[in-house]
Amino acid sequence: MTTLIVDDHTGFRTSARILLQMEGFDVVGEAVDGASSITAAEQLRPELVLLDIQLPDAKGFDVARDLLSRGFTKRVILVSSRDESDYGDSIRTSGALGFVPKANLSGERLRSLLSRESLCD
Amino acid sequence: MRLTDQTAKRLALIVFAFCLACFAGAVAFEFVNPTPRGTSWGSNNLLAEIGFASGVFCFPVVGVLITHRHPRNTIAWLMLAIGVLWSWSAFADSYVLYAVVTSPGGLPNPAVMGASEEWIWVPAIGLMGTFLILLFPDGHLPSPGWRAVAWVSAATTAVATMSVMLRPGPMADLSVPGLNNPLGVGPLKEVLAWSSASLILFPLCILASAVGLVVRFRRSRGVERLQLKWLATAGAFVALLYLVAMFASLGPGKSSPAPGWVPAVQDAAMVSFGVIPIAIGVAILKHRLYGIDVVINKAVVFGTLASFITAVYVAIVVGIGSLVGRGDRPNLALSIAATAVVAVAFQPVRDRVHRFANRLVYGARATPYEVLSEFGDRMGGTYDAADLLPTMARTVAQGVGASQVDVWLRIRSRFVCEASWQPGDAGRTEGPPAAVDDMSGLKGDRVVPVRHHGELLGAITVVKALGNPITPVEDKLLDDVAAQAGLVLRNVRLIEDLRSSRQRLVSAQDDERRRLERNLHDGAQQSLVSVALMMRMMRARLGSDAVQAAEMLEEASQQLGLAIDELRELARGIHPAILTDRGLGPALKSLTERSPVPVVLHDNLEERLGGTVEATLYYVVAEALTNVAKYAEASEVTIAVGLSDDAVVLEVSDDGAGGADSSKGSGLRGLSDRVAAVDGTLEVHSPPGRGTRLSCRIPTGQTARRLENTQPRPESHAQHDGAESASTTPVGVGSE
Repeated sequence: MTTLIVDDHTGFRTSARILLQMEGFDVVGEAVDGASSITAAEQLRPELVLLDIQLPDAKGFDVARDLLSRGFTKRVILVSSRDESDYGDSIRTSGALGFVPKANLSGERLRSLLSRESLCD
Repeated sequence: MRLTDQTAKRLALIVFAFCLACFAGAVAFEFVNPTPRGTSWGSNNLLAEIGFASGVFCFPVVGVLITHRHPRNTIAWLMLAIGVLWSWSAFADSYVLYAVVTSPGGLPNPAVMGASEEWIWVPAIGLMGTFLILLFPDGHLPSPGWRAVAWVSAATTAVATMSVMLRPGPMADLSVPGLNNPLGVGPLKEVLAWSSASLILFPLCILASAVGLVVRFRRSRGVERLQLKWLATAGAFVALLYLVAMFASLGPGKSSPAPGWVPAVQDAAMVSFGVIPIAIGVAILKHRLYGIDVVINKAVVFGTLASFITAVYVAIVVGIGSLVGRGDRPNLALSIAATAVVAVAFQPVRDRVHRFANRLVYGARATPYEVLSEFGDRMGGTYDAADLLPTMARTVAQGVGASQVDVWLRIRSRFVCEASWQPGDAGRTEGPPAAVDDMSGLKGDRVVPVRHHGELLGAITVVKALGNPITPVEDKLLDDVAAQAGLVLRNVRLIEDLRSSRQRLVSAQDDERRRLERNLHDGAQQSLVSVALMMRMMRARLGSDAVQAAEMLEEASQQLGLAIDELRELARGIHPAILTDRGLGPALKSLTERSPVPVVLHDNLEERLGGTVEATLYYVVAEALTNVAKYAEASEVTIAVGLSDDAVVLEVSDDGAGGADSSKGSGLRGLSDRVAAVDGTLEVHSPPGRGTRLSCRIPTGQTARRLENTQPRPESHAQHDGAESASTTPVGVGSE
């Protein structure tokens, strides 16, 4: 599955890329903020965007809505080093498939969220 | 003919000199003339005569005094006229007595002199009883409708005067009876007899004038009301004395000689005439000096209470006593009963009378004393600043009967309207502007500045209803309230200052927490998250792919190192340990070493300062260096810190772009609050293109000692290498 990683923290992007590749995801690109993620997604048309919520120039929720409504991708999974409960219902209303805390990021968690999508279909 | 003020004054003096001469002549004659004359009034002794003359002489005295201040005052000239009439009357009468009785033939023409004064009492009393009352205090009639009364009075006086003056035959009203009137016109005898009937109209005219005075009083406000109160009080006093004297005169029949106190009362009544001109003079010249309100108030209270007690006694002791038929002897039981009734009823009656007297004198308003004492009570009992100023406005408005009162607070040389008061029933007029630039912008019938220790803190503006001026008494009240209000306004302003600075400090604290959260989240937490991820992946690869596991281990340890750095930096930002341990000099040195822009540090401190002062200065430098690195594009920064006589002085200057604006970022304002919290000042001098200089001055001495006492004292390390050692720091390694 082609994947775009969006996060401003280099360390996390590196770890996430290694992890996702090990789990069989095809990491096609990385972006450091909201604006560059839109550009990258428009070019790459990734099947999945792993999107950090705390971006330097925007909130991940808004970026997610933007990416989905413009059809640059069909699936967005939000990540953050904060807890899910810190964001209230913003995650649910953003159109993203779901949320994974950064420290718990794993192929299993991602696949579980992706399968929920296919169930909905 | 139009007289100048100067001429009018001179004329008044001439008239007064004439009166004085007549008076002196009359007194001189009195000393040599025999006194017994057959009048039915007074003790007839020399002292009483002179007393009456003195009382009457008060008229020209007060008249000339008033003309000195108000040369065209109608009342003053009326009083001078009355003075001329009485003075000449007294002189001529004494002259006739001397010429006929004391030294017969010693002076010429006694009959002519007699004829010149025999009629004078008519116009004198006419002026006093009608025009003086009718025209007081402003010289105009109460309203045009009163013209009729004035004309009738004038005509009555004129006709009565003529009928007395021209009456043929012996002159009856002289001290020496029997002289033939040289002015008498025989053929007019019949007509004059009829016209003298006009004298009957006299009391009616006086009564009508008195009614005019009452009407005027009911309509009057402010100063006029005060003036009328003076005349009314004096008039009532004289009338009362006359009433008593007249009843006393009626009491014992003509046959038996009157008891000794009757002529005494009669004398007092005659002399009391002098009270009227004196009251008029006070009313016109100096009414603001005496609170006649209080005099009337007390008189009403005591008079009513005395009447009450007397009435109770008379009713019980005399009334019931005569009913039980033992009125001839005093009845002890009835006396005790009367005393008991008085004792029980006294307090409630007193309260009622007091309220009645207050309403009579002050209307619906409180007395000035009540206003002041209530003001003090309310101010003392209210701690909420939001209530203080509205309460003040309301109290002032009720005290002076204002239609609007505004209280202004001076904030940075502008006057801001903090509280307004209008009576509930008044249609709300346009409110005052929210703020004006200076005192001249404040509108009102009276604008009272409020000061405390000479510092202008605000103002109270008072607007009264149209045609309702502020009286001198109210003016005085306003000044008194303003004097008390100084402390109140100062407190309110302190509270406002404190509140806004507290708000800024709280919001600065929130900002700081937000910054900390963000730093933790963006920095150390991210790195640790990455490490956690690496660890997990490592575990999965540990058995199968040792090379990749080693790569991950390497990556993880790098991320850990980063996290440690970030945590260290963060901790230093919260409170640098070196500041606590070694003091400001070493802390600044460590700060400059991490600065991306080269810093020259002149550290002239030789001893430790208070913990709070050190922290404040440290953050000023830290913020300044951050700003230099971010915006200034400078090649070098110079920091100088040292002690002056009574303060520690810090200066941070750079050679960069300048143009720093403390109003833009919250950083500099936060620093200003921080510096202000230790009584210091922070100035930014930053002309565009010419670098930025930040000057901070924090007083030592009292403030520093106070702060040190409340702070845990850091361990004192004398800094030996500080003095005059300028350390130049090369480009530091950026902390990012």
